[in-house]
Amino acid sequence: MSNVLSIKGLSKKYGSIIALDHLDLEVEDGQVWGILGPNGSGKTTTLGIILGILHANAGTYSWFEGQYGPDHRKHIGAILETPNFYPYLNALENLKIIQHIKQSYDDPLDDYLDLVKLSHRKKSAFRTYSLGMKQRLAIASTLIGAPEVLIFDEPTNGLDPAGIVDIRNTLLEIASMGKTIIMASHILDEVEKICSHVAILMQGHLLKAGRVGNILTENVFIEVGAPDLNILRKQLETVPGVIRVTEKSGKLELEVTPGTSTAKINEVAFRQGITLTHLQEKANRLEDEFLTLIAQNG
Amino acid sequence: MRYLLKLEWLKYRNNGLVKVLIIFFMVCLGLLLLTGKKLPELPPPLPDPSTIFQFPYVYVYQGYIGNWLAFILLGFLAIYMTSSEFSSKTFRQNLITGMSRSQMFWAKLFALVMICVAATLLYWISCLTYGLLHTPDVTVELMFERVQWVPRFLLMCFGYMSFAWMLAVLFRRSALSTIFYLTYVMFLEPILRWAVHFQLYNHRSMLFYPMNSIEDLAPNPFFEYADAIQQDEISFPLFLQPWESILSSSIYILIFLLITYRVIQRADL
Repeated sequence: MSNVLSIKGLSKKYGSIIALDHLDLEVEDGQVWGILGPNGSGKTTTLGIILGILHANAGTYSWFEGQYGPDHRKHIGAILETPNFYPYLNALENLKIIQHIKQSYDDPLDDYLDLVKLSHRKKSAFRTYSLGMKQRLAIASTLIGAPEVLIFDEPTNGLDPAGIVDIRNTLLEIASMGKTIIMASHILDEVEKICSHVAILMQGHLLKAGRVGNILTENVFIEVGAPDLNILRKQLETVPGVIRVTEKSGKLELEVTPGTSTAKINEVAFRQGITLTHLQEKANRLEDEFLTLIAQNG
Repeated sequence: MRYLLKLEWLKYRNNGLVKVLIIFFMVCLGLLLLTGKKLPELPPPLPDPSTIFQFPYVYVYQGYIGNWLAFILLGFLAIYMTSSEFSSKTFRQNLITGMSRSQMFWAKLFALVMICVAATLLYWISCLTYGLLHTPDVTVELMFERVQWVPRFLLMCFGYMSFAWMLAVLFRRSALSTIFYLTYVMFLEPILRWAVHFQLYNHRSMLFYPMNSIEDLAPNPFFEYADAIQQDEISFPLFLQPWESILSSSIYILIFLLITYRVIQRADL
């Protein structure tokens, strides 16, 4: 597996504000990275620097181990923030400009437009598109020149639920082609569904980076409900293996060590004469891990 | 160069505003001189209006009309072609897609130069057409007597466009760039020259300001008579010598281009 992107000590300041603070990251061929973080955490700044539109104050990055030299961006397909096209040109005319820049004239543009379901509007001016259509055209444009790496920055931003599902399916389809993908997002569900690796940023600092499986805690989360949550909480907090009890939406969420089963929780409650109205083991979620990290570092 | 020019062609070939500005420039440069047919007889030392269509004076009069058109239409065209790339973020997208910052600079520069070359060709063709149709006893010598106005016209067009381009790169917004461009050329620089420089130092160095240098490449056609009508308090000719305006304009253009290049290279987009 070859190195696609190597970031070392990247820093960026906007006046006195530190947008990025000594970021290190290595991306290998075929990995699908999600860069997670709340708004203002440095996700877009990171992508802006590695795409050459922002200048870093310190640090270095290199693409493809330097094999393409200054032309490395021609081997990357990227959308940063919003889809940017000439508003008075139609989809095909805009894609032809990208083809020309990449000097890649044999791309099946119609197939790309089919993939993002825009064939029927390929002759309409870009300014007449809805936000979802603009986003889909941007995704189609990233495929031009068969790039080895795709970069998406908040690809589902501003879309309605149907649009989000559409874009997510398209991204999954692209990921299945074996491309290396780097995707910045603050929608954890999106990252969890698509990415193999995550990097979590906050206020310009890298909090954690690695495979999604390694990032997630081994602890198990169990949701329980009862008529009186206070009594239940008091009982459960004393059970060996229960690490944390938090109340969420009229239920208790228990973080327990691996091996602490729902049967054991049920047994404890039964012995104390408490009838459980709800008992469910939850899948280990990136969201929980992310929120914990943010809370610890906030 | 061909690669970069084709890119600019792909961007603007279907742009309505660019088409309107170019067509308006062509129509105005082709036809505005005809208003001279309505001029009454001018008092001496001013010339007979019929001479404005004849060789060699047609180069001068057409040049002055072209001066105003280049200032307004070509200047705005340069601002629009640049600021629209910032407002629609296509400038940064083209960079992301694979162009280098240097290529972005050269692409726009080549496009502006091509527009100036086309405008100059139109100027020359219109001069030849008017001259051939109106000059009695045309000779080749007479036809080309003031042909040096053709490269001067080219330099003038590029002077306005390079200044407007620099402003658009600095301000990034079309309205702000346009307002500053018009205000500087029409008010700010004349005020600096006449109300400040001239009052403090009555010397012809006040003629060497950037836009005045560029304007004097195709000055007011009555400049030849200016010495006869100018005020006593002005102790020097009102216009730069051709070589002076060519040299100073070239230096200013170089400065505009260097600033533009540096901003494109250094700016966060």
